[in-house]
Amino acid sequence: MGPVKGGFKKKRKTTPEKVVLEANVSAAAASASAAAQQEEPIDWWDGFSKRLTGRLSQAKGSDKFESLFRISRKTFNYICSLVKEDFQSKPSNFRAASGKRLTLNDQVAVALRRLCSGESLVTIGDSFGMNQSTVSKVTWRFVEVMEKRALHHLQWPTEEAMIDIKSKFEKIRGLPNCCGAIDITHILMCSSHQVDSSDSIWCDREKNHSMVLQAIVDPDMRFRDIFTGWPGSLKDSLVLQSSGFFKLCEKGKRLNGETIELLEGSEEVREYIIGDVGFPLLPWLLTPYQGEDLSESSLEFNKRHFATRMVAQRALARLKEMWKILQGEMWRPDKHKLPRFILVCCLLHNIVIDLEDEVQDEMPLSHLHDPGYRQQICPSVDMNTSSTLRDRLSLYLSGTLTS
Amino acid sequence: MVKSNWLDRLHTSKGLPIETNLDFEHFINPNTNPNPNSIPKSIPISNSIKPPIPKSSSRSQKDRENPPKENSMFDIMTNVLAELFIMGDSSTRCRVDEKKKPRKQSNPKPFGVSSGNELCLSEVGVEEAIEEGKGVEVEEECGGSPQRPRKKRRTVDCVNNVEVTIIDTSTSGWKTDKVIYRKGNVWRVREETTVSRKVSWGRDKRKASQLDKESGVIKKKKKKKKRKLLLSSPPEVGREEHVILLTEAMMTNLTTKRNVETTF
Repeated sequence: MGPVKGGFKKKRKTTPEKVVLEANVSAAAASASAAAQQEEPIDWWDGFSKRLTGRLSQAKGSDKFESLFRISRKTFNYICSLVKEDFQSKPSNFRAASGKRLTLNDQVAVALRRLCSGESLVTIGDSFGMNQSTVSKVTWRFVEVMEKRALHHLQWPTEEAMIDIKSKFEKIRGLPNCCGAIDITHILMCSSHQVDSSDSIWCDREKNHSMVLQAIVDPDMRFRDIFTGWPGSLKDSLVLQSSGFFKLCEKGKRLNGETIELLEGSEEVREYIIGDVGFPLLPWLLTPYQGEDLSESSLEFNKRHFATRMVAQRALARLKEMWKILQGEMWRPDKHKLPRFILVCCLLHNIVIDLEDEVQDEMPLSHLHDPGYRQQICPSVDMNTSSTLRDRLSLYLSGTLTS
Repeated sequence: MVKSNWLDRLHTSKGLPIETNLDFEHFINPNTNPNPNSIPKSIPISNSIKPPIPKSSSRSQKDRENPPKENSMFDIMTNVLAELFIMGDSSTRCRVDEKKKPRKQSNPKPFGVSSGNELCLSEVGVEEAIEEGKGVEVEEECGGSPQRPRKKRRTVDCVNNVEVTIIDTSTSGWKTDKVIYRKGNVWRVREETTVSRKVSWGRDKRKASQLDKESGVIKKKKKKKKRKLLLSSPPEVGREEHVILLTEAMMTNLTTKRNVETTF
């Protein structure tokens, strides 16, 4: 009698015949999937909307699609095209309760509904006529594929793109050579009342269980850099310090582009980003002046600084508004999966901007991304390089800078 | 004093004399001997009914004669009765615990992470240490053999380790697994060196032994030294990889130091 373990392993070995078989199976599955798609009505949405039940079925008119998925049909189709290859290369066996196999569009619709509504798996399952576990699996698959296929929508700008970004920032309130606005928000998590010692680290200063999301935003409210996964108990300044962006900047590998002269013959101004008083004042990160007896130029700088960094607050507020799964609806989420959900929501946020989706124009421009959270204040430490830069900028903005 | 019949029968079955001055307390806890000269831990048990002579010499002799099985049976019986009636006498339970201790020590095992009792105790230990500001010893080396650091890491690993998945678009991999743990009143971070979060200890151990055979020990030592240097160096970029979660006071210090450093 041969070894049992060996026998089991042999079964797992992939033989050439099996490769051919698998190829045939996948080809057959792909053709089945294509056939299933062919069986659909000419417009997928016509058939899909008829299958909706409950509250979702009551929405009527052309706005029904947008109200359901928070994106236009054009953006939806683009997202489908992004994930199509992966979804079809490994055909799934996800089925509706009726036994009908879910098409690519069905799966994308389910995942998007889950992300944008934040409704429970049961609610979405009931609305779309499928099991809640199917909703969960389909959503997670979508997240994994989006991470792989849509990353190019969230990246630090190239030199050419940075020129445009600087120009747009300057147009807001005149800050020259500004490359981004940084802010931090808290992604709330529902949690049980019984908190063990490991959970206490997730409890932030407002006594909520949360995960932090640090984002650097461009003037179009596009995320250019995100950092998430850390517990909510971390202070903003510490989140920054632990981020890769901070390290790159300290090493001079980021925000090291073109410098400008404010006046002819004056000292050059390097690239920088702006953030609120929760962040430390650094040579590449300018924060507002703190204190009461501020000079006119300092007050003027603070005003402009506030107006400019509003893009970051609005971007985070819109992110949470559009993708409600980030509003603390998830009940005791897997803390390893939540950052990936956050990332995909940020990617979707950027896709909407990149595709110039009209849906975003209809959304209210709120800047309250962390309601109920007090402003954190990082101890102000006077620092020659950064304070000199800030002083020169404030003088420049108030028109009193001399070379 | 009137005694119940069942107690008499119990006395008889255990070979104890039925005396008028011997009450239930005496049976449950024979150590409550009024004679202060007697040895408290000796147990007067015999198969035959003999008058109880509280002499230490005769007791010790009987102890030697009595098989240990009977002693343990008596212990169990005593323990059960004590728990049933909640006598309020902690000495009874303590005695049973004391009996267990030598058994554990005679067969020593390396401290296991999965030990439930120890986890509970260590939690208390950690909390106390933090309250007193003593801090907790933590083995800083990561990715090494699991057997060596186990003793030092146990208290923190059991209770305060929090695994997190970090998404950072400024890093090459974007996604890293890290472990946050507490050292005293300072939270620290170390990177998960393994690919998967759930890697068994055994697998690590095997890898380590192979490395040892291939003179990998020297390499490891070098790695450890480098790590120590990093930790002892002033707060630079390399250090923050490991120490990022600080108390407010320490954070202020760090910020100040950083600011000073970056000032030219």
